[in-house]
Amino acid sequence: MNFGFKVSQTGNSVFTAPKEKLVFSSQYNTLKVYVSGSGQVMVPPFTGTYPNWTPGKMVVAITHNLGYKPMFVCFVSNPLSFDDTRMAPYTYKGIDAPWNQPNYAVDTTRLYITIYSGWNVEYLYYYRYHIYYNEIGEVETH
Amino acid sequence: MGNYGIKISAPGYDITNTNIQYQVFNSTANSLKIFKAGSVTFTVLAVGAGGSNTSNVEIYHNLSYQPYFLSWYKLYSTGGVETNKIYFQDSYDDPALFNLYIYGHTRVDTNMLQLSVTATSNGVSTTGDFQVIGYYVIFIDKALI
Repeated sequence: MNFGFKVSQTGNSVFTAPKEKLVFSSQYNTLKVYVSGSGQVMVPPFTGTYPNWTPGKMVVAITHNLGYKPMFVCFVSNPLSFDDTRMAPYTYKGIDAPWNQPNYAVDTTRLYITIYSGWNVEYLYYYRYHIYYNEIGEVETH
Repeated sequence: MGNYGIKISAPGYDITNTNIQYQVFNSTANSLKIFKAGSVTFTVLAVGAGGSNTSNVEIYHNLSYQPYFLSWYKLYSTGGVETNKIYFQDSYDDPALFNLYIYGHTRVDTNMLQLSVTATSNGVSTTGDFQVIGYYVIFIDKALI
């Protein structure tokens, strides 16, 4: 049976609009927010000396208790500029040098925001996260 | 054209006076629509001391434009022990656990999404190849408008 619900973008007929011109279609799943939040954390400076650096590290664990690994997106601020927030966290880590980057990971109960600092003083970082109901790895095809 | 449409407010908000950021749906604003999602397991070749390897796998979408995407990676230890966590794209795993700096990174073009994992030795060679899993969501919506 061919049924469902769709909404086209302004200026496009819902009867003829391609999928790229729809704002919603019940044929396609969407991200559904389970919880969003934000906070701030102080991250200690690195310790040790070359070549035995150990970066400062702080882990923020957010409990979701969904029982599966949900999709998520996180952001962490640049400690030197709060108007500079990073989503893709990778910054190159040279061998034998401390690194500056957040790591984002999830398991079946928690989201972990791990912030590494290669700075020689303690810094304040702001973080924001969005956890979705959607499960990582759930197959969808069209 | 008349003023019509559909909007749904989040729980606890009055639909008649709620700003759009507190609505779960509004027909005047686009929603991200999932075109394709899933996972793929692939192998990263053994890394010699001080060396580096990158392995790639392609997911073909054939949308003819570069779609918006999200990706995550499950990174395995060099000993083949599965970790319980799934990492956001471009996150390192814990080098203290793996003796490797290992991260997953993702790119997209008009035909395919490419999932990659790069492993760089932390001065210790790995004992063999190891497996990783890439997870992805490709949206109908364009990454570049």
